[in-house]
Amino acid sequence: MNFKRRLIESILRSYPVEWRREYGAELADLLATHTLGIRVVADVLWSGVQQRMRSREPATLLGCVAMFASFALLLANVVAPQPYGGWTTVLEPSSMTFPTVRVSAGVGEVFSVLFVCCGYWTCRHRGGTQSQAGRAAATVCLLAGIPVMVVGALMLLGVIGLSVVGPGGSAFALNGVSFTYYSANGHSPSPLSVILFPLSRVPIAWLWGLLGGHVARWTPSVETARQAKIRR
Amino acid sequence: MGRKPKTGPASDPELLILLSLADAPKHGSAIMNDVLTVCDVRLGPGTLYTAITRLVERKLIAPETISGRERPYRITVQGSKTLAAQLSDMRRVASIGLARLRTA
Repeated sequence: MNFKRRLIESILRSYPVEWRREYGAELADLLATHTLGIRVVADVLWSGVQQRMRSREPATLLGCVAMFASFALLLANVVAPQPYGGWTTVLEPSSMTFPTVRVSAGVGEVFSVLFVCCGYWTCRHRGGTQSQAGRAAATVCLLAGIPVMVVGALMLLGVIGLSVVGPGGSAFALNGVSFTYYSANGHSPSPLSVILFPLSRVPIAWLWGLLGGHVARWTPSVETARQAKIRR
Repeated sequence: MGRKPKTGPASDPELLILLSLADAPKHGSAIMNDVLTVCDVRLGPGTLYTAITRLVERKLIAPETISGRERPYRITVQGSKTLAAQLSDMRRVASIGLARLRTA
């Protein structure tokens, strides 16, 4: 398989499985006859997102909700920073994780529950396998991390400045567009560590998704429970 | 993301696909080339298949039952009626607009 075929297959993964089964081969053949420029790739990727939104897959729906939530938190941090320890403390330093910065919501229990629910939903209501449950949770994690990675990339490019604020310090940016980073010891995160954190969470999200898939397998379905009740 | 060099109702991907299939069934690549030649609109592959999916779901076009990967699509009776209605609307709006421009 040559590079172009592999690239086409990767791009087509942005579409839902059912859609790929119906139209995937045709679109792959069509793309094989085209030059894969940025505009063509962007067009196909965007159409894939649209199809996923229309197919209402658990991973897409939960992922979009999580992405919107993290985007809203990051935006609130930039436009309306809170005092040290406020709810807009999105990114925080950590000596326990690699990279040494973490997204506070990304390590919270609520986020883990979201992955378990995604795995459960994928297995129970969509008839997915265990591995699909894990992949669905990993997709949610990646989608939720996109705004964070974008912020990291913008920091890297110098578009977003960084104001490191310690306890008692002023949270308001002094000039330009600035992200407020709360750190007791004045630790400043590198943009690369901000980009890497969401990716580092993907394997853990996958495991939570697997757990959700297992829970779905253990719990009897509504239909089975109803039949057992009838038998009694 | 529609790559449309023109804007307006005449560059709507669904309308262009129906227009392209009005004379004969065509597969995806042939539809793209036809739309480019006839209407001077370059449809992106993703845009094309998003529109095809919607048209199939609305039963305005249907895939031909043939084996092989390049499946042609044909316009249905309902699709022909929809296309005719849309073109009539466009003709009516165009004639009113042109008449007003002439009298202005």
